[in-house]
Amino acid sequence: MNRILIVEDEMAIRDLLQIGLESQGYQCEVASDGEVAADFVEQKKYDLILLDIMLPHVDGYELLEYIKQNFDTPVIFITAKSQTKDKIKGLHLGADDYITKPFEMGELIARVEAILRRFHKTSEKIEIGNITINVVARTVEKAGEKIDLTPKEFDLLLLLVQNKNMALYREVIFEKVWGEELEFETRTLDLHIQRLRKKLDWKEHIKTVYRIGYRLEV
Amino acid sequence: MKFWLKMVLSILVMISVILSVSRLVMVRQNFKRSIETSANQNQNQNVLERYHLESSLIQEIQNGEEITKEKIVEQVKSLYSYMENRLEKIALYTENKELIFSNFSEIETLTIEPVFNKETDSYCLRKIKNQNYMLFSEYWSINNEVIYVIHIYDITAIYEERENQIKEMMYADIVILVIASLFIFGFSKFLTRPIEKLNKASKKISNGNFEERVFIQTNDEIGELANSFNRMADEIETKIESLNCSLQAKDDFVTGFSHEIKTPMTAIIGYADLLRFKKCDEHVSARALNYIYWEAKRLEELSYKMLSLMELSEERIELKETKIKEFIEKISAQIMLENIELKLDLEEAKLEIDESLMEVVLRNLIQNAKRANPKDNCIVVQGRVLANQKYRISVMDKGDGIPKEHIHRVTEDFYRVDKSRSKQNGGTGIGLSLCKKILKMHHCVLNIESEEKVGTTVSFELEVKKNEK
Repeated sequence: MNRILIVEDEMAIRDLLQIGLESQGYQCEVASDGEVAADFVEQKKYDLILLDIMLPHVDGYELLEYIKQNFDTPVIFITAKSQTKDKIKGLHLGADDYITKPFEMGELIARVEAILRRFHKTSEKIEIGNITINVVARTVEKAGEKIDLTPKEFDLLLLLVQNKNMALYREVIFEKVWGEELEFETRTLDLHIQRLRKKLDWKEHIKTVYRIGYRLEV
Repeated sequence: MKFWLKMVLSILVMISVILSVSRLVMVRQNFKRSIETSANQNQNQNVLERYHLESSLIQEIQNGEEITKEKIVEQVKSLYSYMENRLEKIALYTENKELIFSNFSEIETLTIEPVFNKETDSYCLRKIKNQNYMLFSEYWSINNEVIYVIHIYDITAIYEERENQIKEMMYADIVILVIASLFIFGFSKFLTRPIEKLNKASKKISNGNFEERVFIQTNDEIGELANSFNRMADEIETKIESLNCSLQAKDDFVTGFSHEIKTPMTAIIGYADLLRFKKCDEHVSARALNYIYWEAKRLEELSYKMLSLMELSEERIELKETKIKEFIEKISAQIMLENIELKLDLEEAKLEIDESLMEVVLRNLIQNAKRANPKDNCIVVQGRVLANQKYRISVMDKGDGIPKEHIHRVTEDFYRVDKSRSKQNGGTGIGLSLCKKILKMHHCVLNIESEEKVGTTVSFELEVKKNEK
């Protein structure tokens, strides 16, 4: 389980990041100003730090320099400063990525995963039961045997796996996988769910939640 | 070509033209005079010789001898025989211009023709092999026989003198020109130095070095030019500065504004997405909805203030006579301050104000005082009539105060003392900027006195209506 430190002075954003990342199975700690964050970094070991730039007492740039000089923890800047010169400054100082507000939770999580992968803090593979999913190669194996999935089926599987044990609304699942709004009643999603259940033999794992959508139970 | 070089060359050309013309005239005059002097001398000599010849011929006649051509030639020969080494030579010709006698070795090459005339005082000049001669002719007529006597004087010395003179003058002129060119070079350098200074300064300015100036202390045109140049540079510098300032202000405004918008936006979008995507438990849902509500409220407040700012820039103001004590009491009753007490200490007066705008000012100032966390949980609004027909309204708190270095900037758009723009206790960062603009329309200024950890007093003075009180 990866440990992530969130340094953000806006309580609303801090909570949002925490809720979003914890739902993905990350263990999060939060700090609301630069000084507290520096203490945390010194005392504990983190796999990743999400850092706001405008912080009280010690700002994000200073904190980044401190972290980069003393530790090898990857850092992602999260900031409202969206001008190219700010991005360049942040990346020059050694930030591993730069996310501007307003951000989408999905994008943030994808970037967090990418950075963790790059630093080999996480495996490229997710294992659930006898199913192994290789996120980078986009392949799925069941008991060592390769299973062919269409791209949409793979995206759907990944979404369910990343939000396991949570009920997801079917409209939003459709939107996130197909990238368009569910305007009329379509059976596409249900069809794909059925194909997944059949291919992976997950009839009892992918549950239909009445009037809401689907949930992966592991 | 450089200006100083042009100056040097043109002056040198001028000097050499004047020198050579004057030299030419001088040499010519000298030469002419020398020739004339020599001619006079030679003429006298001729007269002398003629007289001599005549007297010896007369003696012959008195001796009863017949005068023939041969006699004359003989006499002439004897007369000139002792003049062998003199500069004068002689030649005798018959009427038919046949040479009878000459002691001049070059006589064959001499062009005699135009010399033959009967006037004895005229002369002509001839040049043979670099030698110059002056020729006089005489005309003798004896016993119907005509003899021409040609006197040939060597005047090469005069020509040589002229040559020498020209040479000497040339040497002198070269020396004069060298000395003059040194002087002119120095002068032109001295005169054009300020121009070079100006040139250097303008180059620096065009390279963006706007604080560059020239220091030229002369009262001539170049001094004037330097002064106007400096004035121009001043003007450019202030213009550039004000441009940079307004650019910076605009930049700050955009940065501030985008930050103020983006933070609540991120929260609202994030929480809304969370809620619609997953079936969250009651606790998380409630928290998310709360955040959405308050962040949306924040955006609402911001949009109101932005709108007021925009309306203000149209400069519409409706002044109305208002009893100020009554007015402040009315609006302070509407302000919710949770556990902070609002103390009013007001004198009554009639003022001309725009009520809705003044309400914005007072609300903002009171909210700011509240955010400063007053230690005694108390905010004082004081109103006093001053001696100079003014009414001062002050809002006082004993809160955190504003650090000295920030006081002059707090009225800028989106400026926050805390760089992190922490909004634990709300606020948008444009409240004071709004107050300042509104008060400016009431022709008064916002006065902020503050000491860190002690407290803040914000005040402004309005005009009391004249016919009252």
